[in-house]
Amino acid sequence: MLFDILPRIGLQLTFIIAASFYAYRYIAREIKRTRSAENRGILTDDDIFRIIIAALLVLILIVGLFLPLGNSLMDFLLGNELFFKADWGIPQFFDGIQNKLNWEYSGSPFTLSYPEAIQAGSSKFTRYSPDVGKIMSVGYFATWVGVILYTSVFISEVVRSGIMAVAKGQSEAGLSLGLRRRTLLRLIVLPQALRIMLPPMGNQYLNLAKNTSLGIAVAYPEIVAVGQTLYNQEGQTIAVFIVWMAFYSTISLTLSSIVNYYNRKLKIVER
Amino acid sequence: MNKFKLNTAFWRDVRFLKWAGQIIFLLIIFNLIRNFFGQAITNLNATNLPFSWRFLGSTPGIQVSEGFVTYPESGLQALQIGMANMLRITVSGIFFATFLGTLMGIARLSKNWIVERATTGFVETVRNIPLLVQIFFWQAVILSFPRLEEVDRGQHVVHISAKGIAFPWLDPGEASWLFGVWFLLSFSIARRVFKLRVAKLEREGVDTRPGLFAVGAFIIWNVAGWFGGYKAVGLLDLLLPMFQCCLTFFLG
Repeated sequence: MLFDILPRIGLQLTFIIAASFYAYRYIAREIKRTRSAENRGILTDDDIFRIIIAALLVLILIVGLFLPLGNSLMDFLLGNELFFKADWGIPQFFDGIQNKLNWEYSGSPFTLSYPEAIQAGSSKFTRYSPDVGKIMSVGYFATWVGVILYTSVFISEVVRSGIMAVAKGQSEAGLSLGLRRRTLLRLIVLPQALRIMLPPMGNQYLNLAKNTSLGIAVAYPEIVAVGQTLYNQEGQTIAVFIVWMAFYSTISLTLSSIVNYYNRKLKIVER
Repeated sequence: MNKFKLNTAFWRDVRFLKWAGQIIFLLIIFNLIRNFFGQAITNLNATNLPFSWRFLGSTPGIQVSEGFVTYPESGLQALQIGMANMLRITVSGIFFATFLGTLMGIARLSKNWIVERATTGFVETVRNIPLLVQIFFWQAVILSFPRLEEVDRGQHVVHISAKGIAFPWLDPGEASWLFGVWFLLSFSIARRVFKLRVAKLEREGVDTRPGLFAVGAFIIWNVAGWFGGYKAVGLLDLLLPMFQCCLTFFLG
């Protein structure tokens, strides 16, 4: 009987000691703060109020440890079955926590799954199983690679012009300090070039977002393709166009506001 | 008293003219747009296709070849699939394009002749071909791979065929979101470690290797998380029911 209660008492003691320690430290610091030349150790009403509030909070916490809520917290921390199996009115919620905290039950967070080629229905054709592995469809691959290469080439021009726009004296000064070329690039040239690069870079991001609409040519179902299918079926051309315009402007404005935020952050502060 | 007396007529007042000009211009623009839309809606009514948003709610009866749902239940869901597919390319594309572009930009300024020439040649080639042609090219590349035949049935590690590229992927377990929170925390922790090391560097003037320490903290944190540490995040679950208990206790 006594040994069943011991861990609970230990936990309660730990909580009480921790709470009293923090309260003591807070109050001691408040009192110490007033011992300066201008305060002359006088506690204002504000200070006294703060000390009383801190003491009260700790008192409430200590008393709360022995109330039902504190007891159920102990049950939870000690892994008491009574707690997890009880009807809390929120079905399966606490059950879920126990399972999530139980390694044997839930396994590792991610498992590697390999792709599998299976028979498509009962036909003679084969397809990749959609449930395992990752399948990059033809349309996705073509759009993805095309858009990335195309944009990265333009970004490389932006980067090149940004690096070339940094004054030559900067890198010469760095070299004369004995920096290696890599360090020079990382510490001196790139931070300054970034400031020049950012606005045209944002432009390229917008181009990338808009160029994805070409996925329609390789049957990748992005919003233009889906919208076109929809209005071919329903005849609501204007409505679909409004949705397209709203979507693309939302994306563009979001991207440009992000870039603008960083642009403002990186700007040289001029007085 | 030098009381200013306005003796010109108000329609010759500059302030009035400025405001009036702006307002009239705006009215004309709005009227034009309204007329266009009105005309379009009238014409659609005449062809028995009245403008409505009702298609967003009704089942479209179309199949989308890929996305989080393949048989959308409503027009809105179909559009949402399209949006998600577009964002999928955009987000990963911005990431990879920045990375590749920075590498190529630096390579173009390289002192190494071969690197510089090769990158310049690549850049000039890709830049001068229309994007649509390139997309068709990459489609043709994939379509030139062998078809998925019956002999290929079964499990593979990486498999390329005319149906696409298949590769292994992480399958989220039951508690994967806990690890997600843990993983996000790791960035904040690596950043904090970096700041601490930089502060030490500035204080003592010795090389404290802030980057190395940040990467190390990131790796240690995530390895510890992978082998069970992430379950500490599960304690967050406790807060929500406790909050609900408090709410029901105080409100009803």
